[in-house]
Amino acid sequence: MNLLVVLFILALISIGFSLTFATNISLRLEERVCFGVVIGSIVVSLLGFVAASLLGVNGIMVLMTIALGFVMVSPIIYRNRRAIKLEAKSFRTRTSYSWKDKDSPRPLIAILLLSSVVTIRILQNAFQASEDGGITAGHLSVYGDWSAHLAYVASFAYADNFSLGLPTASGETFAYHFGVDWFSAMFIPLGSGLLGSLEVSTAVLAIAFPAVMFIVCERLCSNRAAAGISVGVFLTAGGTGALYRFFIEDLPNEGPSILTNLPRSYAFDGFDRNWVDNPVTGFLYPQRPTLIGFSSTLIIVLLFWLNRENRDKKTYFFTGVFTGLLPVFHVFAFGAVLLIGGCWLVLNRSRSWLYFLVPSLGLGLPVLIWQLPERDGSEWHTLWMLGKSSWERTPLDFFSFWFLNTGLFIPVALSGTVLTFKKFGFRFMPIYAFLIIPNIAIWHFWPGNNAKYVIFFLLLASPLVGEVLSRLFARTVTAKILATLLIISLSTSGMLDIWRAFEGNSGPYPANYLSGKDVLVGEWARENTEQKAVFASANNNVHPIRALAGRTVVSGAPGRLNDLGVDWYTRDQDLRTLYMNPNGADQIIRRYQIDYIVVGPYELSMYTPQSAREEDIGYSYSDNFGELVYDIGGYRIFETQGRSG
Amino acid sequence: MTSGGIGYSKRRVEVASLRTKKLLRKSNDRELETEPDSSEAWKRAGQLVVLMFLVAVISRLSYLGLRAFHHDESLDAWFSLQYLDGTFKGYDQVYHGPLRFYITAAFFWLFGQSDSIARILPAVSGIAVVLFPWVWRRNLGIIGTPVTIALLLTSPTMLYFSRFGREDSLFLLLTFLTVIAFISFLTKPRSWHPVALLVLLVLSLAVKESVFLTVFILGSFGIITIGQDFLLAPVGQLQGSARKPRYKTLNREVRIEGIARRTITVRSRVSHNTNEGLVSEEIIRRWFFIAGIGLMAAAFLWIGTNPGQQENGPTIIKLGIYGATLACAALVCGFIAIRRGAHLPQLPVLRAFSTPRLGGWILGIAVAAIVFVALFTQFFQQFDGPGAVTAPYGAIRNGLVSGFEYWLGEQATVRGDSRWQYYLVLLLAYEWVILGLALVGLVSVIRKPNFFGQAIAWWACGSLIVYSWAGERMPWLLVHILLPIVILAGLGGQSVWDRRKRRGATICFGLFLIFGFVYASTTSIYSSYFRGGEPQELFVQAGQATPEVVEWAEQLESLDRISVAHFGRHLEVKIDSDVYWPYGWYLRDFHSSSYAVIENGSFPSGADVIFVPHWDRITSNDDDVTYIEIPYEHRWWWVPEFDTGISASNQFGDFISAWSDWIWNREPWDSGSGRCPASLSGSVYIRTEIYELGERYFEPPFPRRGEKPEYEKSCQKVSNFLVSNGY
Repeated sequence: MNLLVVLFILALISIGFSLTFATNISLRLEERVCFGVVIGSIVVSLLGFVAASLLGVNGIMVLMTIALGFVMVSPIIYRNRRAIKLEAKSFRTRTSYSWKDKDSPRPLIAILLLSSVVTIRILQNAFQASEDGGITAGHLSVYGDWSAHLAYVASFAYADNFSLGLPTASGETFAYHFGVDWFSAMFIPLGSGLLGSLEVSTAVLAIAFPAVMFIVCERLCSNRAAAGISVGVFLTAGGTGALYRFFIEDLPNEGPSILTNLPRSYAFDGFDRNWVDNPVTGFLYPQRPTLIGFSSTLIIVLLFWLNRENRDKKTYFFTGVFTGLLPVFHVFAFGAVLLIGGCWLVLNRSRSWLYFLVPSLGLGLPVLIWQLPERDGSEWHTLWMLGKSSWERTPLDFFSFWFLNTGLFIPVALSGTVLTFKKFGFRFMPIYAFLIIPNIAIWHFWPGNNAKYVIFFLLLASPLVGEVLSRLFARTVTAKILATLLIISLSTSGMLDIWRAFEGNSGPYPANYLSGKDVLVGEWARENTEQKAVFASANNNVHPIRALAGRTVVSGAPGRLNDLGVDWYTRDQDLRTLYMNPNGADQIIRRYQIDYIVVGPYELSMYTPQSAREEDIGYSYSDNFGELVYDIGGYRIFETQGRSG
Repeated sequence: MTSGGIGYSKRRVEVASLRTKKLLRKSNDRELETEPDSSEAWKRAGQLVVLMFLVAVISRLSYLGLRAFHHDESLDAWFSLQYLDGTFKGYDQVYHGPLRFYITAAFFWLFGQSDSIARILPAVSGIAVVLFPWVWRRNLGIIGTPVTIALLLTSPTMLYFSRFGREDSLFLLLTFLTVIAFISFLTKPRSWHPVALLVLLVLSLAVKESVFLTVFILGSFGIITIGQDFLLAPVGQLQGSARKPRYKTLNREVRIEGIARRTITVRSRVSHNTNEGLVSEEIIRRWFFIAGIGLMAAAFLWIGTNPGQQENGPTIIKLGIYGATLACAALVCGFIAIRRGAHLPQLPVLRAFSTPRLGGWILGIAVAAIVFVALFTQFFQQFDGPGAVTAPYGAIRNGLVSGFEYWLGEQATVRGDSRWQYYLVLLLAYEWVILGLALVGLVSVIRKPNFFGQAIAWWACGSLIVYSWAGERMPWLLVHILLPIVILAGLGGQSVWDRRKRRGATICFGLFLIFGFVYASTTSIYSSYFRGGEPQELFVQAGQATPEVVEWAEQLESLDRISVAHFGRHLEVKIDSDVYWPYGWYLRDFHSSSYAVIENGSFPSGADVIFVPHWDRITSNDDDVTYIEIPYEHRWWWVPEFDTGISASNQFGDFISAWSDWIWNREPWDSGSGRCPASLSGSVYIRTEIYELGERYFEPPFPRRGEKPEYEKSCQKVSNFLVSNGY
């Protein structure tokens, strides 16, 4: 991480910090700084997107973005300069308070330090060099979802994708909450590499998240211990898989040394029995939009809560605009905030809520509509995965499913709702909708995506669980033991999965991700082809043309295209036709306006039968695909005769 | 007061006493006058220090990977990597202590392996060194403290070696902490001091064997202090009032800011020493300091500048005689004190030793011993030594004795620069601002000595003498001399400020400081960032790799990838042992690079790329096209004649002109003995098909050879280092 990157991060935190003064909510300095990371990332990304659309992705664009940001917040800074001074003074004084003092910032600083170490270590494991000069992936988050995110980031950084075409499906619009990937791309002109840009941007937001959650839970719960437990049980959630798989199977078989080489994930089993993964290894890292979405939801809910009595219009307006921007960054967060805000509005009717509703819907709905897929993938169903994968539609499996995936989280949350009813009333009721929706509807083509609702339930119910557990800890010895057992049952699976990513040597990782040949061809394509060029290449999990060069391809990985509602099947068939029957290439080249056709190891293994490979189909490729422009390491790239075919 | 055993007339003492009283009254008046402002001034100073801390963080941590690795840096990084991989064999004193390998390995584990991370420990240590003078703010004063911190921050030497991946920056930090603990122990002893001091010494030993020099300097000062205290005790007792110093009580209310919920009233007692014996104390301190340092210089002159070759009088015995002389002097002073009926347990230095009681000392020794064993046995994992010729014993014995034996013996070999004035010249060339202020500080300490000033001056003079005497003179050792000199300079700055009389003088002093800081900052930036690692900088030692090494390392990585993709096999790279480092670090992940002993004559079989120094250049037939030869520069340096080569006084103008050119443009001079910047040159041989592949893949020019400095004046003709070395 170089100096420019550090300065950029500091600048965006300053901008976000200043914007917290746009509400009339009283916050401490450290709270503003932590919230500032999230708010600053959002604002700088949006300003940067506008600047980059005009100037391209370069250092001047970043400078202009930061300058614009500071111009925007300078009146706020000026108006609140005394408050900033006072808060700084207060912070300095409070650092000397004891850990137990409720005003001491030490626990928050400790959380930040811990999350820094864990985050940096996990991200440091993310990508490594392989022996052949390629890249290895350190954990599943990287191997899986980051393949798509790499393509998105690279499309912005190396292909100026500001017309918002989907880089993994030529001709389609970028109907995805791409904000956090654009945020990553902004680090590249500052000297970060492509892989580094993902790591740094993730680190900034992931380090801040536990701190943001602690701050929010501290205000919602009755004490700091409850807040700390809330953060802990959410981050280490992952069901109870470890209770059997680790304590009964793996640990007795292998002994304690198993901790240096954990054989499997305990919160995820390849979408068979486990469907709610650990929030860190299954959501925060792989599904990058959650980095902004989780924090933003918590911040907005806190602002609603703190504004419940004053009903300050300025604060509602701030939350409205904040919410309205969310579809660009995390569409689920937008939905979650609207749901909670809507319910609270009903519970606490006031005209002031209009200051929230108008900007949030005005800004958010157009983006949401633009993101809606052309294909309708929604359907109704009951009991989520029961009757699918290996779950049966029996009462026993119903309870087993939820116990395996969430442990006793739901009953503890329910008792928390009852315990805190006097304080919150019905305010926490809407979060149960996040448990109901996955059981009645599939709105995102694949039922596995329903876990994204459950994770919001876990996020927003954590303060309730924390409150219950902290109260148990304050009671008799038996209650303390019960609380400890509950924490173990709720946290072991997730904790082991986080440890597995942290430790970095547990098989099968590090796994080969991109070979040296892949890196060479990716770099060549980045340097030697037009930014708007369209490539035909294999639609495997990760392909260097889209992941390293950011060039648009006919088809990315089918599963991810399906998630976005793209007709992946036709594209897959077309690719097969193209490679298996080069004589008919012209029609497909015209259909997708293909500029280059890649014939490499992936294409040969996926689309050509062994017999064709032995017959050296390469001759017919040369005759039909155009001019050979690259031929190194088993990769050949043919330049077609332009989009006209 | 009677002159007693000291030999001063009553009249002189009275006059001096009157003067002292007057000064005291004057300073009290000033204190009272300025008191309301002083807290505000300290607040400002604190803010300035925070600002300087931020600058220190940026200047020490930014672009750490900019400069090519020095030979020693690459070894440090390599051993750290070995420790991380579990293949580190243990402490071998040739490469100094293992503590930094452990810490750097932890950084590698957390942040990954890179050139920047390999240098992060020195950088963090360098930041801490900049900040630590704040601990002594009451001694350094309201001006002295920020001046000291600013001097450390802007010092070209400090910046360069805070960004240099050797052990010196960490060792400097530990030495600083040791001195802080030592002074604190002698002035305000607490029961934890033995633990802190002994553990710090063990940590220092686990970084570098130079801790013996630290112990020597502090130890000799300790003996001087004992003697001094013996003489000071009777002076006070005869007066009958020295045991009970007079205090003036000041009540101060300190309001804790924040949410205005706490108000603490601090009742502080400010000591006003009105002893008649103050003048005598000054005189005693002054002469003990001068005599002690003079004796030290004399002892080292007696030993000579080639300390290892003392056949008839080994160095250790001569040093022992010096120590014994000091001890005898202290004993004589003690005898005098006893005869006068001094109450010895009340002596500050003896009180310091007795405060922790026996239990405190036993605990200190026990903790230090555990830390020692832990550090030298890789945390109780490896009690065997590395099995090297230089470290033949077990891990613990190696740590205890081998380091001292080896490095004492190494002084005979006179590694590095052979001139005793080496450090003085470097100080004058880079740190003249600090040197100027330090001289003022030294004069002020001698004129008006107190314990703190005396300790710092002793540390500064002692370090200069000891390091100038030691046979191994390397640029990175300069920091160990410079740190106490900077603190002395801080005292000098405060002293100038205290003695300011006219507004004009204040402005002049301010302008001097501004000019000095601008000069130092500019020099720092150029020598650490823009010209970092270029041979015309005197910080650059013969092990410094040229930028070409970095370029080759990067190109080899890419070439290997291309080779695997194209030919299906990794490149076989053979690097001659004479030019292996820092490639050992740069090519750490390389599949097949090997350390080889290549003799002049034939190509090693199977090699695709071969690196050799010029004396092992391989001659091939003109029609042999198997390999393509590319000229290569591996390391570079410049060892100029400090007198610029002049031989008569009428050439003094040339001397001034050459040095001015160097200061302004970093233009090296040719001293007439061919001593322009030069390099260890050699050749790279690349198999032809690999070279052609590289030409095809890389943007021209291939191979890239990095940017190198060009000179305009006397060294212009040898700017091609290969030619100068007869390539």
